[in-house]
Amino acid sequence: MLQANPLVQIDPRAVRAEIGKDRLLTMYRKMLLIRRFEERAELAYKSKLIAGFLHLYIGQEAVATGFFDHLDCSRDATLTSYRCHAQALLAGEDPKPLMAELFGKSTGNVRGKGGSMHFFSKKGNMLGGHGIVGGQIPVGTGAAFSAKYKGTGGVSVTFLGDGASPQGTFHESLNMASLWKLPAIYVIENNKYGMGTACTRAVSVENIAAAKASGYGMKSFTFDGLDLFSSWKVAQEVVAIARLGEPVLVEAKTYRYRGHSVSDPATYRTKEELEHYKTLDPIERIKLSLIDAGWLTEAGAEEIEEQIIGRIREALEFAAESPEPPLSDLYTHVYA
Amino acid sequence: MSAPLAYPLKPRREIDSQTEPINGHKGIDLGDGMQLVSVRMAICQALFEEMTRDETIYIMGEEVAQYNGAYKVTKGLLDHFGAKRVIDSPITESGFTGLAVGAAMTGLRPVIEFMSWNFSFVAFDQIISNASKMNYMTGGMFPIPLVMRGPSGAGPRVSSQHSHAVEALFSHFPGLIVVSPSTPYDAKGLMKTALRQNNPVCFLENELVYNLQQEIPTAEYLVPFGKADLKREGTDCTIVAISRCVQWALEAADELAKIGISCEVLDPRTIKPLDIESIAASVRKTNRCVVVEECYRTGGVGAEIAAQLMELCFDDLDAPVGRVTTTENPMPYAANLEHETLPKPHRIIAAVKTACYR
Amino acid sequence: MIIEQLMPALSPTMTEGTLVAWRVKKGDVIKAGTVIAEIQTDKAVADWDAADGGTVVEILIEAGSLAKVNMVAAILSTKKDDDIPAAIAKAKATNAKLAGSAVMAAPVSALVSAPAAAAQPAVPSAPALVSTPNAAAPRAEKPGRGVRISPVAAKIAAAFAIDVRLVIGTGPDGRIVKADIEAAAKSGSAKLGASASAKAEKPKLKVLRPDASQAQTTVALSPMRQIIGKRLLESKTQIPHFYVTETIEASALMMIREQLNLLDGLKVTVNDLIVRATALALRVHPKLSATFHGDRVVQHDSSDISVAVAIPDGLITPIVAKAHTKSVRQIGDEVRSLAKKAVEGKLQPSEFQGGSFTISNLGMFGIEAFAAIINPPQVAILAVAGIKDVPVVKNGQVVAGKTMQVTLSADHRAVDGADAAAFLKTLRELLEAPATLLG
Repeated sequence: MLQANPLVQIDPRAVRAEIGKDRLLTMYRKMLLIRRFEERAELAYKSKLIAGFLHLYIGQEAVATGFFDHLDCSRDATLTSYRCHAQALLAGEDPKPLMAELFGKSTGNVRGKGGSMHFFSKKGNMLGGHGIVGGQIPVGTGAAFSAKYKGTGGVSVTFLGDGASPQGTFHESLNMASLWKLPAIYVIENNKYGMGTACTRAVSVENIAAAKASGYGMKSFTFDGLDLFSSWKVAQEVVAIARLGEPVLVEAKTYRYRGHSVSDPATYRTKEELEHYKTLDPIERIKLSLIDAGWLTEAGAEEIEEQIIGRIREALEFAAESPEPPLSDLYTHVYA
Repeated sequence: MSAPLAYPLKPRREIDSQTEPINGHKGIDLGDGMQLVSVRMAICQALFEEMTRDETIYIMGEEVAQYNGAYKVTKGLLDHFGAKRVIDSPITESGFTGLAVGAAMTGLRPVIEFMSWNFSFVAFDQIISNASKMNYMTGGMFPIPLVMRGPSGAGPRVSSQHSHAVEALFSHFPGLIVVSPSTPYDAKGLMKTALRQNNPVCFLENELVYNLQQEIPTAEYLVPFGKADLKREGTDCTIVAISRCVQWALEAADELAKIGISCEVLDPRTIKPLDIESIAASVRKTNRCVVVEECYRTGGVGAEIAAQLMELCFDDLDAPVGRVTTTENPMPYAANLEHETLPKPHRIIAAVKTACYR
Repeated sequence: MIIEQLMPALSPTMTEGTLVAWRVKKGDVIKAGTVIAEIQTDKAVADWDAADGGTVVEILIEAGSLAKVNMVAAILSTKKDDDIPAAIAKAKATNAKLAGSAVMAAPVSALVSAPAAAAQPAVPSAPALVSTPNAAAPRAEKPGRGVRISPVAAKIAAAFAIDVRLVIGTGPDGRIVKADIEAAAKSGSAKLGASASAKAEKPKLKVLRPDASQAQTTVALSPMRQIIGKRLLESKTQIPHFYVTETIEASALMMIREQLNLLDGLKVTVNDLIVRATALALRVHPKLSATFHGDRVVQHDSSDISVAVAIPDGLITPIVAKAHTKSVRQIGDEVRSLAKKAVEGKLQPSEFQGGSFTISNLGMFGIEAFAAIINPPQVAILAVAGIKDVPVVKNGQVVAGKTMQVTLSADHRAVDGADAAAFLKTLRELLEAPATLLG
């Protein structure tokens, strides 16, 4: 059992050793892919190649990456809110159709019908990409219900923000999951702000998972969401619990380096706060740890960087060169 | 349009509630390939047959299992199919609707019961933002085979918060199917169709027609979506009536016949898709139309049908399309006020006379 | 490698912004993520982070100036062998182009530092608005406009050729409804009644005859009637009309018409022969082929003959132009074509405006004689009555004959009695020797 105070305490070196070189390098690459994908999407947005909303996950990569490492996407379902790029990439979607989706192209992930907020993966069991705060939580609960109904042994992981925790769907879902012993994991990614409102001004308790889980007879874990090792270790524990048929509530204390969306200059927080959290960059920390362990060199890191930038460049070119959806697509898929 | 009155609404005999079942999935076998059922039994029978055929179908809702349904529509299903597939939910409409969306995305075919559609309003976000849009916004990746059912429309003397008809409300949104059966035959056939297709369906029953009885075939049949049904033939005025209003329209048509006005009563059966072609064909014949519904007048189904008729058969109209709806006030409790609020036969008669310049 | 730092759109609505201040200067070496400048958007002042690292080799937009989105604000270089002058020249060209245009999407290659120049992708164009056929396109005006009538009643009225202004509506506010038209059709004639339904027999429906004594019935004048009334009132009150009548022996005329009609495919009417004869007579008497203009009279060489045609609720006078140059057959074809267009309301203005002389023929009604009102600015009009079987004196004996009266109304300001008489004499001679019309 993990020890918490209130954050789960881990020994980074021990966890690193448990994860091992290959697995850690894979996660590093995935985090870097998410980061570079979103940075370039942000630039494309600022050049007006992408429009609408663009909510970036930059800073929070360790949370989803740690969890996905324990999931079997053929039977485990995941979903999240509108900050969904990372989950789609982690579920195995290629950057090309995802970038094309941001560009509103026919080759997009959902054929140009969803945009940034609505990434999905059929093969990766990633159920979105949802635009209404809290709307995805009972849907994730349904995926857990299905897994239990069909006896697949699968679990569902529903990511939500701190801002979604006051929504009724959150509480209704926890009640159902606990009542029916569903293999459901709820991960609150507490990035300190629900849009421009600090969590402390919106939620009555500091540690949401710890405070709410007990009300529904559930186990809870709270961890440092900027630390991949904590994320990975907690995920390992809660996925095991859920597979045995018990829901779990998790809270990741994390931080987003960008505004709520690209159009939010985030003037509600201080530069000092941002600079502080940037010193805790989850990707930099893993890079240093990999180098420390002798599993990566600076040159090796440079090579990884170039490979990833190459993939993003291909994705951007693919997106730019793809055709817009034909107007005949307007009415396709209104009904199945 | 199907043959009119193939299965008359005046059966050879009524169910004898002293000796015969009045709910559950078993109809009363009349021996000649026909069975006597109520609307309640017809829906239960459809659920029973389809759950037997397809194991991915489950039913969840408040009081659907051990209590046998607040209106006994699911009577006996728990005993037959067990607690895994017939599930009492907490009072958590938003929760169990969203859960059903998630289940539908991952291979199940949920049926959820709103004890009344009035309670669906707390699940509105799940129905609209999730169920109705999922197939579209996933580019066809995740269709939502989901049946949401329960009684819509005014109950008897239950006042403001329990008296909404929701046909117009839900048919506003692309992606939803809206079904509103008025007879046992239609209710069974439409429910079976709903359980075999892949879109979210709002299946709007009506408490006050649950007991309506009809002889229907014992053999399996389906009723397609988007096909209106002729409930009475006539020449002078087309009455388009929905759900419980079909009965009121038929009563009004009987009265109007006595003063020489011959009414055609057409039941769209599904509001979305709407069989406007059949309605227009009837109006081209009669040149007049009155729409009768329990929704409100503003933005009601009648408003939509009137607008579409204007587009399709403007030159065939001899009078403006009439609308008989729930009046624009929350449902009052007092009996006389409730009577006047609902689109009852006396108001239908007045509207048809106006359309016929009588 | 050269990396262009493009002026970013920091809000979805931003198309340009003020570069408030640079936080780096030429020569600085920066890392990715460094705040390089502050930008005033339409909403707030925001930091601009560089997505890539490098050496700042040029700053193209001065602090405090307004720049369009996607202008190159600064250039970074990462390699010693980068061609910086070329990069600066290219950036300046980009900025000059953007300065004079609306916001343009940046090439994708500028978004990602690439070792080699990536293929220049097509600039995405704005999506075309979905165009849907407008169901509410304006329709042609329908009969009955201005009268309250139900759509289906208007449709049936058109089919039965019923003038809906003569029908009293029994619907709300006097709306004419289907039953009213059916009743009107039934009472109008046996033929129309055959298609009226039994419902139309209801006695409360009635059809009004246009009868001045029905003082309680108000029928608004149509625009056409108003014009006819105004023009003829002016003519009758302001033109000094005089009338000259001649009787024409029409046996030969009838005979030649019958003979012509024996020819395959030919259909000649008396009117066609009269138009032809009049056209020829006018060539001999140009004073009558004239128009009066206050201080002068214009004589027209060409016999452009206006033929009065009755149409629903009025009359119109389409013109057989240069009738003297046309055969009887051509005239006949043209008159019938013009009359059909007139009834259908399809005449072009050029087909009924102008004309040098008018013929009004009521012969088909068998009337004895009548006099017509001059169609100004013309100076004469010929009224043609019916052909009658009458006893005539030939060679001192009374024999069966056929006569037709024609009455010329003339404007005494332009024409004298002798002119009129001479014209009628010529006309009579032509019509009594109709073979002359076939030349």
